[in-house]
Amino acid sequence: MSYFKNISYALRTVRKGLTLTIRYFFSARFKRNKRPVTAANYFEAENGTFTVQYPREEILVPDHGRYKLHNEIDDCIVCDKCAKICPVDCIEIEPIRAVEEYGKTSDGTPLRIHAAKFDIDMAKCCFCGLCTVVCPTECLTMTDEFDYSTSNILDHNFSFSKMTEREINEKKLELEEFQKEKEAIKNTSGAEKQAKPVMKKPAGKPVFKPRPIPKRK
Amino acid sequence: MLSLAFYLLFLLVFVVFAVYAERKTAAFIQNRLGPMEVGPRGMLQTVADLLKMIQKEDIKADAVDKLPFLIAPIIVFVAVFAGFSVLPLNAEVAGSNVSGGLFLMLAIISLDVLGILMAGWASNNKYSLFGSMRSVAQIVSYEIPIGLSVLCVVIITGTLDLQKTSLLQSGRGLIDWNIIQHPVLIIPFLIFFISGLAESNRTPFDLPESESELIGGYHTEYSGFRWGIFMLSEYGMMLLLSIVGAILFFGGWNSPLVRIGSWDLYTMTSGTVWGTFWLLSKALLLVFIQMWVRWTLPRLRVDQLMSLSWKYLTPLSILMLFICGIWKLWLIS
Amino acid sequence: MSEFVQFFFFLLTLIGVGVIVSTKNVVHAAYALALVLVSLAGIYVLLNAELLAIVQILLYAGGVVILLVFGVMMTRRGSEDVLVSESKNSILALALSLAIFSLLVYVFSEATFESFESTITSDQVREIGVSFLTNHIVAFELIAFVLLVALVGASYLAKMSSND
Repeated sequence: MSYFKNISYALRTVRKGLTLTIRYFFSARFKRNKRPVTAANYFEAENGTFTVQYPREEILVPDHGRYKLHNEIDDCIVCDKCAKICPVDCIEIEPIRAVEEYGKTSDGTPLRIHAAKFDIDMAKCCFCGLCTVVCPTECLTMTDEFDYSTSNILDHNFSFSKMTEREINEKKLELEEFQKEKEAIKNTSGAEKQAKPVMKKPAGKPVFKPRPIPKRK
Repeated sequence: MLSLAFYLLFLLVFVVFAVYAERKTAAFIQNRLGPMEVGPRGMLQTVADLLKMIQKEDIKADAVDKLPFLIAPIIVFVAVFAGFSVLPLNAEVAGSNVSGGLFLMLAIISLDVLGILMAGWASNNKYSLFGSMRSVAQIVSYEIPIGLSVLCVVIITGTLDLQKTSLLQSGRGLIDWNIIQHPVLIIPFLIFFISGLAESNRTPFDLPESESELIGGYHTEYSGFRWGIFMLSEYGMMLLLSIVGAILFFGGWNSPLVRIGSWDLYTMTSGTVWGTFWLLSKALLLVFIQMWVRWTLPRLRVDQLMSLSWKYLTPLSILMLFICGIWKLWLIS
Repeated sequence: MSEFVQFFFFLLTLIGVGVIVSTKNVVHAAYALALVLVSLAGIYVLLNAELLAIVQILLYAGGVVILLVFGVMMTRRGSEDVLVSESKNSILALALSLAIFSLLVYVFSEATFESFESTITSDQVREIGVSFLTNHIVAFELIAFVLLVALVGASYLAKMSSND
């Protein structure tokens, strides 16, 4: 009797499969809604096609996603903390000390060091986000830009310094002269120790202080 | 001659858009979009693929059996395309005037096995050889149920001429179709459809090709245009069997619309152009069902394939032949 | 036109036969046999025997040759790449085939063929079917019986080998 059972089983399963696929076929009229990850119904099944035609449309990216790093160089005090904490050493900074305070960041911290070079090699980056945590002026942030693929890996090294070659040389010369001057002053009159108030202040103390995060229980 | 010329042109256009439709059907069933880039909604994707394929090198490996290797795809295509010669197109344009038209078609399309066998053997490749051996075993086995299910229709209509079969179903629209006039033909149609899938090497019976096990089976060694001819033949076979199915069971070029009161929809939608339209749209609907089946069912195992043919379809079709004989003798005459 | 087509089919048949005799590759010989059978079917069509031509294609080209090639493929021994047929006793074979050929020539030259206009052109299938079930019913039933015996024998053999 298994002969007729086989036939009816085959018919039933084929019918079930065909109804299932035709339902999917017609549901292709619809397109799945784009929902942010934070949406409550994010994991809910939905009918319709879910292909994202990438360059023309993009998946919604969470605001706090960790993608490409960005440094707002005008706000950067070149404290070198990010370069020190980076586990993969992808940030490379070449500082030039300014002879005097040459400006203030948007949160009021005085700027005393020029960034001759502020390079972040995104090819090395491990997207841990530690550098953004330690940044005292919050100028180093992770943006929602995730597509920056290039055909040359060297193009993944992003340079944020705005200084031109000429400016760098100028600042270097300035610093050299200033140091020479200082040496000269030191040598000629060792008593005039109070004549350099600029150097006495602790360099680049941030106005913003990170608050301790209350521990959750 | 006119219908054959038409079918040749139609086949070429059909293949281009059938491949597109196949990919779109697959995509929609799998919640995808399918080709979208070339042309509006990806319509020209197959054209681009064809252009690429034609430009490819016609590779002949050193160890192949040269002449059979080169002519095998042509034999397959000629065998399939010769089957189109007996098909009518509409009420005015009939196919080749052979007394046993349907019989001739079945005989000629059985020759494509020879081409497949030749391709597999000449390729000198174990996958190709396995593919072609499976193909032969499959096509030879499924020719029996397909022949018997066609014979059921022949018993009831009493003719082997496809044009006469179509004429017998004309007059009142839908209610004159064989499958509705003679409901016993429903099971023969199913047998015809299933065996047709096997004859054209379509999933779930694509064992001769099975990409996952045999890397394409008998056409593993082929590239470029010759491979394209195999592809063309496969889609040609689909179209041929769909047209034959439409003629035998679904009224051929007759309009499905019936007369409603004084509103004679049937006459309004009959004529040369309308006939061609109805025949081809019925056939294309069947082609769609073939695609739908392909993206639903997984491939059968070799022993399952054989037992389906020999233990289920063949006895059932012999039984249906008997029932159709009774139907013809006592119930409708 | 008709003569030209007929000549074409004769030529194809002769080429096929020539290949069968001359080639040593068994598979090639089988392909050539298929060519011969199909071109014979073409000649049958020109002789107004459509049904015979169809049966020729279906049974011989589509059935017998395929099974022949299939059998050759299945029985390929070891790593032999090409199946080569041997030609022994060529003198004896030549003598034998000459004898058969001359016999055939003699028979055909002596025989008197009734020239008859083909009366069944419209529906050969019907005519042949009717004559099968009326005048030639015994032969028809005998063929059916032979086929049945063959089927039973085949399934018996298949069952026997699976039990081993």
